[in-house]
Amino acid sequence: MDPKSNVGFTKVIAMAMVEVKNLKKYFPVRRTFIDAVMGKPQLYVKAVDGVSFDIEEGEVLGLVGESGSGKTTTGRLVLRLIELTDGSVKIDGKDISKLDKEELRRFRRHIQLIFQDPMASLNPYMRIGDAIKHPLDIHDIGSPKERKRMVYEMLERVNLTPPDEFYRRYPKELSGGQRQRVVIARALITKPKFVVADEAVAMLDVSIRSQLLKLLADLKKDFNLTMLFITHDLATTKYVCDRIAVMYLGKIVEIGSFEQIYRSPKHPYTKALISAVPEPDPKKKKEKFIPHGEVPNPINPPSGCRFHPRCPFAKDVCKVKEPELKDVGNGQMVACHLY
Amino acid sequence: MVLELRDVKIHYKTTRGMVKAVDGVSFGVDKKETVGLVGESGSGKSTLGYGIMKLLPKTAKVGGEILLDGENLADKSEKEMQKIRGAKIAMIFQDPMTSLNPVMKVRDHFVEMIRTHNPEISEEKAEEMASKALEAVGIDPIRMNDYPFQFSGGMRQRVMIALGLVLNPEVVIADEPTTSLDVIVQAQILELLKDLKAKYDMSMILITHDLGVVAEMADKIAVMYAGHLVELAKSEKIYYEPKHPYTKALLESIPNTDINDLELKFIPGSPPDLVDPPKGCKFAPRCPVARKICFEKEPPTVEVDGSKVKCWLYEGDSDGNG
Ligand SMILES: Nc1ncnc2c1ncn2[C@@H]1O[C@H](COP(=O)(O)OP(=O)(O)OP(=O)(O)O)[C@@H](O)[C@H]1O
Ligand SMILES: Nc1ncnc2c1ncn2[C@@H]1O[C@H](COP(=O)(O)OP(=O)(O)O)[C@@H](O)[C@H]1O
Ligand code: SF4
Ligand code: SF4
Ligand SMILES: [Mg+2]
Ligand SMILES: [Mg+2]
Repeated sequence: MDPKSNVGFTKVIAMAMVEVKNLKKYFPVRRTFIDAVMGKPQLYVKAVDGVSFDIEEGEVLGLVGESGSGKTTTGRLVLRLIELTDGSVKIDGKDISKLDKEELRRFRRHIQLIFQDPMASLNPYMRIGDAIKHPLDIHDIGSPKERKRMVYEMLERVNLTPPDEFYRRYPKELSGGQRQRVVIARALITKPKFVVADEAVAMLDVSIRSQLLKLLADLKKDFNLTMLFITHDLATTKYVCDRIAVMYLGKIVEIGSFEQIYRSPKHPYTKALISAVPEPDPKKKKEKFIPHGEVPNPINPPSGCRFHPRCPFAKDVCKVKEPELKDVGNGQMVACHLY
Repeated sequence: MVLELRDVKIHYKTTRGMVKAVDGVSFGVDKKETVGLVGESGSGKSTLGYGIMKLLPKTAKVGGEILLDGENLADKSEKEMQKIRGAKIAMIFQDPMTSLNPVMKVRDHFVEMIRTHNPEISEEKAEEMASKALEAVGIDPIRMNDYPFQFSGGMRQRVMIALGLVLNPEVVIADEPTTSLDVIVQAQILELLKDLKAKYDMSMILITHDLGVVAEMADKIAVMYAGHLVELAKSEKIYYEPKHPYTKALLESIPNTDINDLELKFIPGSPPDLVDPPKGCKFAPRCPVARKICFEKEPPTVEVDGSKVKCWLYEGDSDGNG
């Protein structure tokens, strides 16, 4: 094999914009006073339990998994909206877990979040133009006149036109899809180095969802966006993600290029996520593989492979030995004893 | 036909003016048939569902006929409706958290529901029925003693389904039963609904904004846009030979996992404001093939090889009985 085509080799050259290593978040389970006095052990919700990934500049990484798999917690950790239990997060070479309060405040303009529910993340009493301008005010970017111009440009860019009309409106005067455009505009106005989008299109109708995905795909090109795109629906990763990481119960179980995950998914859980996507062709009876039950409680995750109680391919070894992420070819990494 | 809608109109009186949320909708539901009711947010799907249940607010005015086993529900008093709801026709609501009472145990939801209809049923018997219904939806009957918040979103939806089915209704209206759930739980719930429907010989109206969801479930699909029924046809026909430009656009905009299909299609713009809808065809401002007449006159509903379509494109294709 030509050493130059080796993935490890190219990784050394291209500097990753985001480097996440062995990220962990254990939320302490609340004990009653009595429990503590009785000496009951402190339990932890292991929401994220050793997650590592890189995102290169201009790259979008999809993070996919069922509800409760730890996606939102991962997103909040990499933006340091909550404190890490362990591990490190570097953004553009800076270890953000080491920044003090003031340094972090100043760094915030470079890292932004797009939420799931636009209504909850917009102030109902603030005109949307002012909402989009807000991050510029906070971080003191540009003169008042320049700020206004930047907002107008951004409004046009996310197709809220005519901009002067939309500038004056309040959130309740917009449709769900339009509100999500406002949230995207607000996140991008400071030209951030890195954006986390957490279920950014989940609350929208299918047709509006596609409009927003198109917008994100276009913005990705225009702004050379580096993004973590969190979703429970694998079908929505298709148009914006370059690589995809599949998460289950606090761990990444498979990670690969968009092509690899779509063409040759390896992990049984990845296959399940694909087969769960509704198929509009009534004759194309999909060979459905839907795991039973729900994601188990992360306080006490199953032994061995965490997916084994729901996995139809589980073998004896799966119950005792935890599979490690390993390369199954061309950089596609899978954590499963079948490989 | 178990349920028949004839030219149903539901208009809300608001301070801004009349909202024609449902405006002349007609279709029937046969025994054991599943009809998918599809459309974007605000197209009038839930309003129609509540209208059939007669659970609309006082500001709503209802016209046309809603026939259940041939009897017009308009003629029923609220007292009679209370008997009908749950027993003959049940609704599974869009948001299970807000439609379950947070301070009532699951068990009490069942007992209340059963005994409202059949006061002669003892509490023990009602509990036994609840047990069976919970088991049928894959919930351990022991959990009857829990409160709604102690369940995950998917489990709560299962409880809602069990509540909807416990009296074995003829028709179930499921309003976006999976919209707030993740894809795996969605697939589980759809599978469950399919099984239960077959087991209990029910008819169903499945409401959703996702054509992908109904395609796996429905025999027939009704597509709504801005209060109008714009296309009605067998599921295969909707998929293989969509007639209405809106149906076509809706189909194309569904994200799928086929890697050979990389072009992202979407419907530009958004549905109209129903207080002040466009004249003529309500889809005209977003329609890629709109013509002059579309902006001037409302299109008639015509039948084109088995599909009912409300669009000027097909006006010459039949005798134009609009
Ligand atoms: N109580 C009400 N008073 C006035 N207008 C209403 C009322 N309820 C609904 N509407 C309006 O009627 C129209 C249809 O609403 P409806 O909730 O039936 O749509 P839907 O198709 O179920 O949408 P969704 O997919 O968002 O659930 C909308 O324009 C809505 O704003
Ligand atoms: N603040 C918190 N305290 C305790 N447990 C939490 C907290 N936030 C999340 N969790 C738990 O961590 C797990 C992962 O949650 P989350 O990151 O929200 O997953 P996802 O976004 O994939 O649905 C879940 O079991 C959830 O209940
Ligand atoms: S390691 Fe075993 S249990 Fe886990 S996904 Fe692979 S086959 Fe299934
Ligand atoms: S009537 Fe005209 S505008 Fe309406 S859907 Fe048909 S072609 Fe398009
Ligand atoms: Mg989440
Ligand atoms: Mg609705």
